[in-house]
Amino acid sequence: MVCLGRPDRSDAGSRVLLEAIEIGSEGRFAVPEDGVEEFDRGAIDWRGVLESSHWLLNTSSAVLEGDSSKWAWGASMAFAELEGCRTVMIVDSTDGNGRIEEAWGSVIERIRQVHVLFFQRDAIDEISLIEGVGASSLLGEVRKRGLVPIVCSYDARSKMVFVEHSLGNLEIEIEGDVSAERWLAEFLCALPSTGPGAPGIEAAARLESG
Amino acid sequence: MPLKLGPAGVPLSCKGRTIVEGMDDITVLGLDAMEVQTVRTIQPQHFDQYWQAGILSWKSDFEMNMHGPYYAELLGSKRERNRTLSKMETSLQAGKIINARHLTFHVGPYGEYEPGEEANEQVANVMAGVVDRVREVWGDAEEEEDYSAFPWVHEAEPSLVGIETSGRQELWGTVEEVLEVCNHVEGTVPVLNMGHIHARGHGRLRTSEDYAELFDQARKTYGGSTFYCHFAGVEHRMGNALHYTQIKKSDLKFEPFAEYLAEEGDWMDITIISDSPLLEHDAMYMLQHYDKARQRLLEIRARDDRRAKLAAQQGIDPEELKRREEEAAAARKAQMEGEDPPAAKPEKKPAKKPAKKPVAKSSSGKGKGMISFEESADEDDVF
Repeated sequence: MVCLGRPDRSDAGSRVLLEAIEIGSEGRFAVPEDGVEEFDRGAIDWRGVLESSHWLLNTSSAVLEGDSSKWAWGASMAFAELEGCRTVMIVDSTDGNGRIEEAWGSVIERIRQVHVLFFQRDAIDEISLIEGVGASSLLGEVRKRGLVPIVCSYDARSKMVFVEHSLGNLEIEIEGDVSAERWLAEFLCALPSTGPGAPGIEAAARLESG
Repeated sequence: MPLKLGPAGVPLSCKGRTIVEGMDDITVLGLDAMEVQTVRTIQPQHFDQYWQAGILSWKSDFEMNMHGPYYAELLGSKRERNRTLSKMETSLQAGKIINARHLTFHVGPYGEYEPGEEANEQVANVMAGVVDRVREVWGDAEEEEDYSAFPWVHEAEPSLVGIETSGRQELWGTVEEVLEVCNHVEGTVPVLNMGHIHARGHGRLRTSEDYAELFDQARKTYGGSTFYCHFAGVEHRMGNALHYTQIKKSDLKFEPFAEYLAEEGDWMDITIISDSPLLEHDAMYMLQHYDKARQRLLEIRARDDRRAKLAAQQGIDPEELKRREEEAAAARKAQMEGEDPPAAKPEKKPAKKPAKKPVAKSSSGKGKGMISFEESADEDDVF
C-alpha cells in the first residue's frame, strides 16, 4: 500500500496506512516525514514508489493544500492507473471551511481512476447536499453515476458498514470497537485475497479474514 | 473525413486546472476537441472560464463540447424530470457561453415506462423541448448587444443536442432507442458511447465489420452523417458496464474502429471523445491508431494505382495484371522453396499448391529461404 499523505501524517489516508502497517501490510509514504519544506512533490518518482503496490491511498482534501499537493495528487492517480495500482479515495470533511465542493469536484473529475471510494461519515451529508440526493442513497447514486467498483462508508458509532459495489450492495454491523481507519485498512488488506465477487467483498467488509 | 479527437475534461497531465489551460495542452498534444464536464453545480465563477474558452474555440479550430448532468431522470416522476431539466438548462446556458458544438445528455432509468414506443415518445417530446430551448437561448436578437463579445452566439449554429447510449440494462438508451429518437427530433445527434454499446451488447464490438454494422444501422435509421462518440475501455458483465478502464486493459479495442474509420468513414463527420481513466493518453493512442490505419490504407491504394498505370501501359486489364503479379510471386516463392524438395515436389500441378505447403513447413526448412512476414501475408491473400 502506498499513501501520498501529509508530511505530518495527520490526513485520513496516512492514518489508514499506519493502521494497515500495524496489521502487517507492507506500506510506504510517497512524501517523507521530514525535510518537507524543501521537498518538491513534483519530483516524486511515481513508478518507483508504486512499484508492485496494490493500493494507492489518497484523501480528497489534499487538493486544497496548494498547487504542489494538487499536482502530486493528480499525478499519483494517473501513474497508479498506468502501473496497475488501484486508487482508494477517502472523501473527508473539510472542517466547515466551505471548500468541500472544490475537493469533491476534483474527485469527480477523476472518478474513473478511483477503484474504492470511501466516505467519512461527516462528509456524507455535505456531499449529498451538493449532489441533491438523500444521504441514505448517496453511495448508490455515486456508484451508478461514476461506475466506481466499490463505494463504501463506515459509521464507527453505530458500527455499521455500507458498501455499494458492481454486483450489489450490503449493510452489515461490525462486532467490536473498530475505528473507521482501522476498518478501511482491514477491508483493503482483505480484499485481494477474498476475491472480487459479492461474497468476497462481504467477507472482507465483515473483517472475517483477519 | 472530418475527425476530431480529444479528452473528456482537462488533461490529466495539465498542471493548471482551468479549461483554457486544458485547451492549450490539448492543442500541444495534437488533438482538437474537448468535452467539458458539468457534473456538479455550475457556479458563477465557472462562467469566467467558460467565456474565455468560448472565445478561444471561436478564434481557433478547436471544438468545444459539453456534457450535461451525469445522472438524469427524464422518464421519472414530474418532480424528478423537472430537477433534471433544470440541471440541463444550466448546461445549455453554459454550452452557449463556451461555444459548444454538442451538448450531451443522458436520459436515465426507464422509471415507470416499459422499454418501447411509449418511452421513446416521451424522450422524443422532452428532447424536442430541449432543442427548442437551445435555439431560444442562442441567437436571441434582443440580446445581441449583450453578447457582442461572443459573436458565435449569433453567427454560429446552435449546439446540437446529443442523446447518449447507456451502458446498463435498466437505463433507457440502447442504440436502437437513441437512433429512433434522433431520427424523429431535428437538432439532435446520437452520442455513441462505444464502451456502453459494447457492454450492453455483451461485447459486440470486436471487428471493423461490427463497427460497419453499427454505422450502417445508424445511417439507415437516423440518416445523418454527424456523429459524436465516446470511447474508453470498459469492464462489463451480463450486459452491464461495471467500470471504465484504459483502452489497453479492455476487450474493447480501438484498432477495429480506426480501421473502419480509415477505410469506410469518408461519409462521416465524427468527433471522438476519450473518457478513459487515462484521458489524453488514450486520446493520443486513438489518434496514433487512426493515423496508422490511414497510412496502411494509403499504401494499399498507392499499390493499386501503380498497378492500374502499369496495366494501362501494357494495355491489359488491371485484374489480369494483378493475377500475373500473383502468379509471378507464387512462382518466385516456389523457386525459393524448390530447395526443399521432399514436401513440395510430389505435388501435381501449378505453382500454387507447393507454395502453400512450405509455409507450414517453414520452421523445418532452411533459414536462408526466410521470407518476410508481409510476403507471407500476400501469399495467404493469393489463396
